[in-house]
Amino acid sequence: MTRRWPWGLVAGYSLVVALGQVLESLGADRLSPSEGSTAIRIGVSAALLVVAVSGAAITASPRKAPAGPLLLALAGIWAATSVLTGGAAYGLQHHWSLATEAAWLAAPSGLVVAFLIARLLLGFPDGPTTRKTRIVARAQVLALALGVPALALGSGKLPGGIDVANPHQLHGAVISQLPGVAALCFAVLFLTGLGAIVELQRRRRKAQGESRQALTAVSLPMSTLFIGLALLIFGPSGATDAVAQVVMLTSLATLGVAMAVAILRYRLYTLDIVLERSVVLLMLVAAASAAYVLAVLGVGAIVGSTRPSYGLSVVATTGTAVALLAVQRRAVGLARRVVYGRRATPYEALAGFARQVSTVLSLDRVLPATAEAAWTGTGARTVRVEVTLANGTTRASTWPPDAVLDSVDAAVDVVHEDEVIGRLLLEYVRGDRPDATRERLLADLAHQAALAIRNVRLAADLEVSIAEVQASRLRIVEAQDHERRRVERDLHDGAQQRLVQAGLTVRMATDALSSNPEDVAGLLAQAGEELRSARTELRELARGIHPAVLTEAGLAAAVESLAERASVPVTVTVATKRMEPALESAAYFVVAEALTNIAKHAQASSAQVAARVQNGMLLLSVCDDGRGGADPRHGTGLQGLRDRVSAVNGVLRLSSPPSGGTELVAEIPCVQ
Amino acid sequence: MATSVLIVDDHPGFRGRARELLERSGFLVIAEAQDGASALRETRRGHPDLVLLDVQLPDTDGITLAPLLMAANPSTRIVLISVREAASYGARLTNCCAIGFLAKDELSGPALSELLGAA
Repeated sequence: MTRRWPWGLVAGYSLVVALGQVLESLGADRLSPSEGSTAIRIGVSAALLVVAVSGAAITASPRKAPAGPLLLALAGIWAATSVLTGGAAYGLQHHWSLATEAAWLAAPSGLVVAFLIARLLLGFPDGPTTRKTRIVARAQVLALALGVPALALGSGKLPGGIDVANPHQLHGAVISQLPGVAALCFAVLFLTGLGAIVELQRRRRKAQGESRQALTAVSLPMSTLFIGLALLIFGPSGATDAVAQVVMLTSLATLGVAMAVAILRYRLYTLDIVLERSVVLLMLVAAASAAYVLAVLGVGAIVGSTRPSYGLSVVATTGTAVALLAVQRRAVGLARRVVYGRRATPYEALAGFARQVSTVLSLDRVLPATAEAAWTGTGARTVRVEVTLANGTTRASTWPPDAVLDSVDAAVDVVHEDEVIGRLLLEYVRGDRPDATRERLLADLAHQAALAIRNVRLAADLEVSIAEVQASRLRIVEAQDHERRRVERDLHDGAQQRLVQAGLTVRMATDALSSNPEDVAGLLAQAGEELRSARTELRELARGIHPAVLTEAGLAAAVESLAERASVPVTVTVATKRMEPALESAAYFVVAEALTNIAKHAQASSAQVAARVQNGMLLLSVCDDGRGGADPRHGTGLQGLRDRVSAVNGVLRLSSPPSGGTELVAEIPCVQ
Repeated sequence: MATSVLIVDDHPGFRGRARELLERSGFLVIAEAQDGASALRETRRGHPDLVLLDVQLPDTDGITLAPLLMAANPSTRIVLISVREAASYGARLTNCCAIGFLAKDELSGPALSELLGAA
């Protein structure tokens, strides 16, 4: 479950920082030179927002890494310090009594920031989990606990950007040691942080694969951050301060992003979201600042006053707020393009898709094109397009080509003339949500894709039926060969043997004429018998090849003759006139094969054959009251019949429930 | 002494007719066999002088079986018979160890005696 509150926090920080910026710029002359510089202040805001966004991305992700809340806290303290310092500076200008209190509150922030950074580095990314790191963590907490009161109660000038004496300083011998205590606490935090970096380098050398990459990504900004921190703490004051601050700010911002990348590495695309939101926030801050400066300076110049007035501030703030609304939408679009780059606007995606599919006629190209257009237009992580063909098989394509759809965040049916012919499935980047524009794009895309997919589906269906026709043609030829072999074998085993016997018998009779004339009559009678059975077998064989009765008298008579020779009583209801020979023949062999199967397998006591023509279709059925449970996949006989029936554009259905009874139905288009 | 004969053919009708014809011509039919396995068994047991061997058998074919029968009984002589004419089998017949071939409807005592005399 992704959390949303971290992003709300980031938005809150942005407002606080903006307020701090305004206050600091108004009270700039009370700030120390390094704090007062506009460039530094803008840098601070940018770095802060990047840190906040990184922290929010980690916190919002399902991976619970302590770095997330720490980065968020760091940004929070930073934002609070900004507004307190700015408020103090502005307040001091106007001699407000609370101003020094604000400066006092901001005073320990340096130490808290140092604590958070040192704590962030400790045992990254899991935090202090070993005994050693837990001891170090306790030392850091102790340094924080001692350092904050030492800074708050120490004598003299307050630390921080405001030149003001500590309003709550204590006096006494022990108290005079407080600055030393504070320095010691800083040193503890600095050294433990340094130790954590050394430890991290050691772990990085031992690590392999992804975790090594992750630690590498983090270790560089960590190191530069510490160089900046060292410069700030130990370097000569004044000149190096600005450099140290720039180094630290850059490092902190980089560190935040690097940590987010490292922690979310196993799903790196989340980085897109971090970047996108960072870019949006930065642009909003920039736009707000620009609008504000323009309003104050521009209107101020027209009015002729160089001093800020409350009225003007209110007008400027309202104007900025209104401007922000307009800027935000464009900023989001711009940020998407900056972050996703290669992805086009929804319109471009649709237009490109329409161009592409207007020419192609193969599923292999339309499906990826549809998926890619949806991916480009919506910014989804993965898109899958599925199409169901007429024969029930599914074809699918995923974009990007090597991606796998882990979950379905959005699904759109591809509909053509009220028939769902396919689906578009999308998985969004984590944390991203479909908006109205993208939903509209998906609907439009599904609509456009429907026609293209319908066309290529027809083509694919055609391919499938051509393949089926080719297969059945081969089967028909094979069946024919098989049939010829059977006829040859039947002739050889049957009629030919009888004729050979008759020949031998006649030869014996010839021989007997001289030796045993009394045997001749018996032998000739025997030869006559053998010739008669040869004739019967030839007639049976001829009927098997093609029944004369079918040619001469039609289906009804032929089925009657089949029924007469069947193994069980058969009721025949055939009410058809003469039809085309191929059609009559197909129907006849369906009945013949069905009756043979009933005799062989069904264990039936009776059967019915019915045939009639209705609406230009010959409806033929053969059913029995046998045991049922016939498997249509078995037996070449049924496949042969299916081929025969489909050759005359008919369909064959077998229904044979295990509970009993078998029905074979053929529907063949016919003209009577 | 009459020539002893083993008739090997899978059609009982033909075996019966052939037995009657050969016996009328003075041959002594000592056994009938319906397939290769029983032909081999009868050859070992009866040592026939002549085996009338059908080319098409359910478990083997006469041309393959002939050398096995010769090995079982070297003194036996084999005449191949078939419903088909000799041309259907080509060179396989002439290369075979049989002394001759008869189409089934040409079977007669004199024809067999002629083949035996020539051999």
